[in-house]
Amino acid sequence: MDKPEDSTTERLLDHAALAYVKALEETVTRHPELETLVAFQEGRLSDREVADIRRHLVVCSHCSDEILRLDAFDQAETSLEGSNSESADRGTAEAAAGWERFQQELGEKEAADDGSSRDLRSGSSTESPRPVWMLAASVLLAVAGSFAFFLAYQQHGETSSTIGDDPYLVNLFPDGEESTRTSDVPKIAIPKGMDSLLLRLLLGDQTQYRSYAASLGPLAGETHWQKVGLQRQPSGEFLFTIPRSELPAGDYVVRLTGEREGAAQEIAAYTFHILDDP
Amino acid sequence: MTQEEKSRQVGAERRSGSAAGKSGKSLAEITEADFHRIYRKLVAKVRHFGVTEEQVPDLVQETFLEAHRMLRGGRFKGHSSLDTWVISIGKHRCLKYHRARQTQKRKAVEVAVDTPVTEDWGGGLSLEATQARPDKELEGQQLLAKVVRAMRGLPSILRDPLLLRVRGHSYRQIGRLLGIKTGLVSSRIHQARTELHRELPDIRPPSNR
Repeated sequence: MDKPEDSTTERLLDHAALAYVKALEETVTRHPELETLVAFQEGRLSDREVADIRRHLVVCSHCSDEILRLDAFDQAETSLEGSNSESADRGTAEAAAGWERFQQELGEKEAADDGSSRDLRSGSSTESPRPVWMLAASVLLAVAGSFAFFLAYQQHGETSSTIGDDPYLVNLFPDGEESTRTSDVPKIAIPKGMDSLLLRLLLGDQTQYRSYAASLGPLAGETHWQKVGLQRQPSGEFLFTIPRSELPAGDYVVRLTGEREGAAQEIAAYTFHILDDP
Repeated sequence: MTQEEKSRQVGAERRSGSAAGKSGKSLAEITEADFHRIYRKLVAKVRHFGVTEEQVPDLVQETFLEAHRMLRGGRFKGHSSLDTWVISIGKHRCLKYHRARQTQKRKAVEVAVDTPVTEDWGGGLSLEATQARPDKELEGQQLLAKVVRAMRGLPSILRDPLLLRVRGHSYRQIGRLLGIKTGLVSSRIHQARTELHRELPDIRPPSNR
């Protein structure tokens, strides 16, 4: 027969077990990719992959929490019939406001698009009292980066002919930071029709430099492309495009450097992998 | 089929929420009717994911903008309904947002790493106690070492539910994460504790001296 459980001993064991599992969690340096975690949650992995993920979930509170959140997302009640007319009316009003905002942001994107074309052709726009870069900056803030490349283009004086009409936006964390959250270097598949890659380099270091530059090269090779005169965004990141032609499949590293007191210093490196054309 | 009939069919598919799914037709944009229908579903789901209330409209908006961009790029292949596809984009958005928040929080925790750790049962696992009470620290460390040994000796089918339980998960959540029934979770945790007691018969709290 089982030994009767003493509540103090029980608590003690649980505390020790918790200390044990927390110590195990501290050794975790790799996490499943976002896509893999979603595939697990949706039941799209093989038995072996499922077993690997489950082993990870036992010791990783972040990922187990994410799975439960994804479950909650899927299981949310989405019936359009509200429990009462008041909540239904509120939902309708919110949706209407959302639609208005959506239309406005799409309109701003197109206006920014047109504005940049007009500037190239005739020098200025007569329709908007605001400079184009201000318009683009407001779009940047509102859309959280989706259209930020317009701002970057205008600030850097690039022309649309050197940039793809539809750059593919990728966020990169400095090496040694995001690598603790994901299992590998970011793998990027540039979709067909995208002529360039718009990189958003995230950087926590707030040190100010006189000027910034980014250089691109194979992981084990020399720099073959460089962007000078980069400007740091108010939110702390760097935005610039790399033509697709510079990025055949392979491993690359972008090195961000800053100039201070006449000397260039490497601030951060961002490693990523370009996949073969999908 | 005439052009008018085709338009009518696509319109009907969109209204039913099955969009291009079954017919394989591609869509060029999200209509206002699509937006209203999907918006309300998406808001409910994003709220359940557990983001802050003020972040909900932004995440939903970003989802629609991304969906719009992907539609324009021909990325909607019609393997599912438009609603399902947009909601799936929203799900990824939520997860990305949550991961970014976690990264920020982790950095904040790293900054606060000097904060003393305390344990309410007075065990020697706390840094504070280690410095102030070396005798208790030794007792606590010995206890922890014993429990770790016993834990390692447990088969994973017993150990894993217990570890998730001490983290604070419910039986239902543990069953979900490990892919086992709730009833089995309960019995395995009980079995794990029984095994630990058997391995550690003389375990007791560090004395309060």
